Amino acid sequence: MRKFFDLLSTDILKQKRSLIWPAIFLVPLITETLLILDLYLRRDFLLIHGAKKGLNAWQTLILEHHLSLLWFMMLPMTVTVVCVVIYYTENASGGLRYTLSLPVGKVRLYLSKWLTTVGFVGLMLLCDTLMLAATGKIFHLPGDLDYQLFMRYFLNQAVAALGLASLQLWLSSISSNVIVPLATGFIGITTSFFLAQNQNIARVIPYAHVIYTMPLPGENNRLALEGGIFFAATFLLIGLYCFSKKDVTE
Amino acid sequence: MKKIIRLELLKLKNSRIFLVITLAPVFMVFQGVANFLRYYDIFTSRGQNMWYQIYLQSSVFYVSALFPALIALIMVSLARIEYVSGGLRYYLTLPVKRSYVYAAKLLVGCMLSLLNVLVFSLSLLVAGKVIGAPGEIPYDIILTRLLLAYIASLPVMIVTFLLSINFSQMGIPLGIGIGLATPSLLVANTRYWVFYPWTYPIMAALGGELFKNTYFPFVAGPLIFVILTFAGMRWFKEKDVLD
Repeated sequence: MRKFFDLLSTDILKQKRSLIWPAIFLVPLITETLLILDLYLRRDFLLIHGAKKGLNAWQTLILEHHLSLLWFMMLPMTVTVVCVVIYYTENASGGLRYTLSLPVGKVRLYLSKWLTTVGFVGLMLLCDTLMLAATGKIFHLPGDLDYQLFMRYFLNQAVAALGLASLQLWLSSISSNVIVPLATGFIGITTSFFLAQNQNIARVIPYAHVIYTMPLPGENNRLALEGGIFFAATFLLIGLYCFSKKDVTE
Repeated sequence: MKKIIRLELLKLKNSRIFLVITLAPVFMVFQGVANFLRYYDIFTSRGQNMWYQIYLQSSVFYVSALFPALIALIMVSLARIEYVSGGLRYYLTLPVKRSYVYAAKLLVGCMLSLLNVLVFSLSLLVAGKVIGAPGEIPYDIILTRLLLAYIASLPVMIVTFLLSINFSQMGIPLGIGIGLATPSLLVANTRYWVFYPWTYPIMAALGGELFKNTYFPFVAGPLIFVILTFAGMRWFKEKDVLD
């Protein structure tokens, strides 16, 4: 177990100077800055519009953040880039070849990378949720801060992102060519927006699950949760299998 | 120069970038057409032009999200090949004119982006024919508009190109390229779009009230491209081999 934690800390340390750290803070920050501008310009309009749909102020805030500010696109795009960067660090320096030749289990190695990815994505979501709540407070939204609502939003996104991260990490691990996972991710994300409107199709597209994570009335969060768990488990197992068969020289 | 361009294309042979730039627009048109067919009654109830509706459904996310992302990917691929193998350092020590290397890479990047747009256009044409869109093929929409969007996206190409050849860490150009492209759809809906080159392809492809009265993207786009190209070339010529 100690070996595993050593691997994990090494994987995190490897990203010390990479783009991931600034990205997980900057991406939510950019989104929240745009949200602040949006609220500054049309706070009252948005709240009235939300109330007409039966949403309270905090729910309207989440709706605006998720759809109008395109967070449903930002999040999967960032997850895609994070997964690619984690493997690229290894491939660029030839470190993976070296690590694979050491007496370290491949399963542990893959799990460590998976956990590193999950950790970074979780941290980004945490930053985003905290910034979102702070934005609501700055604009004195009516009613108390709904902690449960934000917690559910965070968890829904985390589970949905888990499936996506597992898929992207697997794609990144099987190809040393970064174009493959990046292009698959970008095409998957952009083409799923319209296709996701059909829930039966959305169910089988991990890129579409993030769209269904808003904890609002009428939203099918189960689709995101079930899909996230299913694809996380499936692609983690596939990834573990493929990685354990990986040759050192590949 | 021709030889360098040929070499640049050769380097990309096994990178699968050609597969990506030809398949991505096809997927985009597929989802656009799927959405059109899903809401067929709404999109045709007032006698709207079917070709235009297919174009609109397919190009919304193409020009705002996928195309800028693919431009970033193309430019990163061109630069990454050199950085991964240490080739750029070797390349720059050879008796090859640096300005040729720079121009060839940029030209190949722009050509691949154009290929992507042309495949998108062709996919629209095929999709329209497959679902039986009536009337003559509106080339002014499915070809001319997209070519104009291509011209308007020249600043995006040069910025991502410069970032790609400047930073060996591919995450930076990718992150900046995609990060700036994502909010473009939002900015395009404000009067400040003129200050944000990532909105130019959107305005060129999808129009909008502001666009009707201005040719700004077609003047500003190439102008920014030319200025940054020469500035970048000057920097590239003076770049130290060890940088």
